[in-house]
Amino acid sequence: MDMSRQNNQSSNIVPSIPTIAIFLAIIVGGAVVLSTFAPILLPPQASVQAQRTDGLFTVLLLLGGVVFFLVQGLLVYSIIRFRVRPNDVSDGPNIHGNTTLEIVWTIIPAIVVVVLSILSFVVWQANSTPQDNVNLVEGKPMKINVVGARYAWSFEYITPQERPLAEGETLTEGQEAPRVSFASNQLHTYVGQHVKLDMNTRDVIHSFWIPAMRLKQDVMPGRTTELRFDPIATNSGFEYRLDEEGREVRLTPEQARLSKEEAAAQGLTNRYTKYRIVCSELCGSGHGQMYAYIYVHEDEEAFLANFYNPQVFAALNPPDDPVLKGEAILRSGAYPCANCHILNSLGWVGVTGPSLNGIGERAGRRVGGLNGIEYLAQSIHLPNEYLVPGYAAGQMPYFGYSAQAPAGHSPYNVMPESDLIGIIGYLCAQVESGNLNDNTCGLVFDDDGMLADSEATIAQIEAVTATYRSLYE
Amino acid sequence: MATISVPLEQLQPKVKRPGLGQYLRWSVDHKIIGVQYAVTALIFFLIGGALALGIRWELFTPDLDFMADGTAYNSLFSIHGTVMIFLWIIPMFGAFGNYLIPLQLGAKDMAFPWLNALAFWLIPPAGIFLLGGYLVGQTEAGWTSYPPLSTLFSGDGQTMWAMSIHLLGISSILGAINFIVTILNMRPEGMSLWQMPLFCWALLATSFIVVMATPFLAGALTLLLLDRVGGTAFFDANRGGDVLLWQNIFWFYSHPAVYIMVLPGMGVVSEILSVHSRKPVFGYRMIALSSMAIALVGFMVWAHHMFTSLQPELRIPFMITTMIIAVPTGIKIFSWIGTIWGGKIRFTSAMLFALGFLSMFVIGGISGVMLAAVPFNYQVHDTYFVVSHFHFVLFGGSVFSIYAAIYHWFPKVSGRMLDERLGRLHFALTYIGFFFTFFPMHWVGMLGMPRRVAVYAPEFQSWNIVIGIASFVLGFSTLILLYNMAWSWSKGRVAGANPWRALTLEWATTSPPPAWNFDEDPVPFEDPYGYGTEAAQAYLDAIDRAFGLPDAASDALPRTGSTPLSPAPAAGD
Repeated sequence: MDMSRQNNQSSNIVPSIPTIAIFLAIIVGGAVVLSTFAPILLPPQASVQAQRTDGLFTVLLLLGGVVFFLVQGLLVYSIIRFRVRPNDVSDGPNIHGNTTLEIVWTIIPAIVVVVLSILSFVVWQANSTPQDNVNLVEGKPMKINVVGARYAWSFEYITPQERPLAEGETLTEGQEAPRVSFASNQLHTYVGQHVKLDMNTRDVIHSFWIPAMRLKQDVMPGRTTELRFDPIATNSGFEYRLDEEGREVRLTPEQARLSKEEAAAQGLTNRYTKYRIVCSELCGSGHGQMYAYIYVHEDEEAFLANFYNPQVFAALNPPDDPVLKGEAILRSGAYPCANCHILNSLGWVGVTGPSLNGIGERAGRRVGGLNGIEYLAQSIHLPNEYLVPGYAAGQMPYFGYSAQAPAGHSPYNVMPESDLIGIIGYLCAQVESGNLNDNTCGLVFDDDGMLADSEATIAQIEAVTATYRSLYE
Repeated sequence: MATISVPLEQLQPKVKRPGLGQYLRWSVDHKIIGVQYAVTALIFFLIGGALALGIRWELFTPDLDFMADGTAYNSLFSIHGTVMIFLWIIPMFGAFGNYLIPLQLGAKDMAFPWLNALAFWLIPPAGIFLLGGYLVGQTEAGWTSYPPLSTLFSGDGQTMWAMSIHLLGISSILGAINFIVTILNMRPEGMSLWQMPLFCWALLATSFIVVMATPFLAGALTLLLLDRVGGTAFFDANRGGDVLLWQNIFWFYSHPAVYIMVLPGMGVVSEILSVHSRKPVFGYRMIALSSMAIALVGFMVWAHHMFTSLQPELRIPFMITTMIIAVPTGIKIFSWIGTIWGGKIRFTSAMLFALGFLSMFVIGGISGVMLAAVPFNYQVHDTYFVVSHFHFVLFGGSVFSIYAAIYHWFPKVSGRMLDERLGRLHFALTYIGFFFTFFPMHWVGMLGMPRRVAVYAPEFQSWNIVIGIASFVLGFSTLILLYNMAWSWSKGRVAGANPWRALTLEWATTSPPPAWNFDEDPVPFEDPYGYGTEAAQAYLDAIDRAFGLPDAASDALPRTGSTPLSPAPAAGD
């Protein structure tokens, strides 16, 4: 080996001090600039946890940026500086390594990953340390259960308020008084509440993700998982409010950013903001449509006035009218119908199932021998018996009276007979002609659009739904 | 070993390429089997690519409009992922392993030629079986097939999916045993383990992973099949089973499987960077040992795929092991830069793809470290950020290295050079198409778009259009490669034995090699990457003298070194 030639070449490949200095400046400068992009790379920061996570992300982006610019910079430099010149047919220098360099580029990355591990651990611990006093409403805790089902989220609120015993209901000794509870397809909270969710699934694995909160937790059959977070106000403020008639109004960015006092002075009370809740674990054909919203009210007062109190009132005063009862059940999101069906009266926009607009006019004409009530009951209870043309068996889940499925039917969702009666009543009232008496279920409405005789209608529907009871014996 | 070895003194007669019929029949010749692997894998690559473009076509709009329903869309990406992993990348590296290992070791064939053929012939039926799922209701549970979606809900295609992967697993294990035995036993005199080409080191590490991890996949698949058709309840929580059981066993295989798909590519890149920059591999031992370190640590990180489902107290330990694996990966990246540093870089198509590998793989590495940080992982787990990450690793890493390997070794297999101009065009379109397909996905994922959805929030549409257009550029670039291969197979410039003037033994025989590989036992050069010495020049000149040079050797690529022998010119610009 020609040592002199090798030494000569080796000295050519060490860049000059100014070159190194410029190179380092580009790397550090590039990484710092990159890390300032952190806020626009992520959604709004709507929880305390998001603030901590984003701090960690900025560090990750900074260090990632250093590695990125270092490696790409060295590559570009090498490609330009060490490209072969025309007609040069010689080999490069016979260099096999450099122990010092190799130790350096083993130790430095090792130190970096130790630092990152420690930082991640600190953030993880801060974010997952349980808070006391979760889900407080007027100083008392409630329980919030999240249920994932193909393809909708529903939220069950068990409030601290006691409810009167139902007819025939008795308490055994030592049993706690039953609480008022209600379900919704929206998650409501307010700034300052510590939220704790207990999460389950009815069928497959789902994953509960609120991008604005940087939180994600799978819900799994056979396990209850929990998620905790503390919502905060973001820089964009509260972008919506409910007007006097309960309709959602979108505020201008300026109105949204006003302080609570300034907004109240302008009459802009009851402000809130909302973020998407996404399912992020593949759960079947409607996976992409499985989302809900979390509403963050600006304070507890707004939360109580706009969500909590009306829900508690409705739970304590259920309507007798099966049509109104059915509407309340469907609106609550206790069943995932909205994710597959279109129904304009409730704002449903699902596309994977047949439209329910005007179903009350069609129901009695669908299947020979079945009147409207019988058809609707069968479609919900045993949906594969008759398939609307263009839709496959198995897309619509079963909704039976108990979790124990009748022979040959599985998997199964529970829909108590009382709920089924209300839902059938509501669907029968879906007509497009404008005249409710055009329904093909035989329901009779008076001129005000109310049922002529609620009790008779309940009896009429129950005569059909009762026939399914024998399946469970 | 001080003497300079001249492998063969006499010019070899031209060797005829095997006829088409030999490629379609059972053959125990590792070179035939290697080509069989490669062509089969390329066919599946086209199928998987077409499925990918179907995904992108659907995602041009936020609604479900191209595919018939959500289930059809789900089977699209389920089969895309499965095909690309099990029928493209893994068999394609099997192709290079089969073709090159005996040649690089100076051996006449693999240790178990018959087993080798069997391993290949399991692949076509498995592939047909997988695609046959479309006849009975294709799987829709993704390539990860999490129960209970895959057990209680998915169509009968899921059963065929599991049986197909079973067959492919057997094929992998047979191939890996063969590689290990061949590498450990069939090296020629004068080649210790530490003088072995780095591609062989990479395949050795890969094969250890295959042999240790794949049986776990087989176990998981058996339980899945029993749940589906045998009435058991291993994964059915309502009957005492556990859905996390599948995730744990599946990832215990499937995380190491990432290294099964990347380590051979790292071996390829180590070879190509050295040969085409005319400089020894920098830190040979560290690269070889880091492969082994990755193989070992790769078994301790599986649960980082489960940070949102794993018991919370186990998340931090798996974060730490995952972070550790960045260190040997970093060693490799810096060693590769050290290899080209100060060299005489020749921008052949093979080299362009190897450099492209370096610049893209490092992005996958950085996002990998970010994903390991548990709090950040919560935000991006199961989103397009992850899709981006693993495509930077498996496309920017594995596929770029496969492309590099095709340009580098096609002359040995066919006896003809691939067209360099088409190669550069292929590289440019692939690099740009790839980057703009996958880089924007990081952002889309962080902002809130989950993966595996046909319907998404409208605010993500503009990025999905950019991604979609780039993906079609990427898809088109593949056709250039295939055209180049088809054209060059018969019309390409004659390559000669050693067109790159490389020192490893596969170049010390004719292109293509005779059925028995070497007419006489070849004597390896003392250092497989000993470029820049006069001894190496002499060795390479001797190969040229022994096998002759093609007539038009000088037209596109000036040969390094000089022929006939003269002292190498002094370095200088």
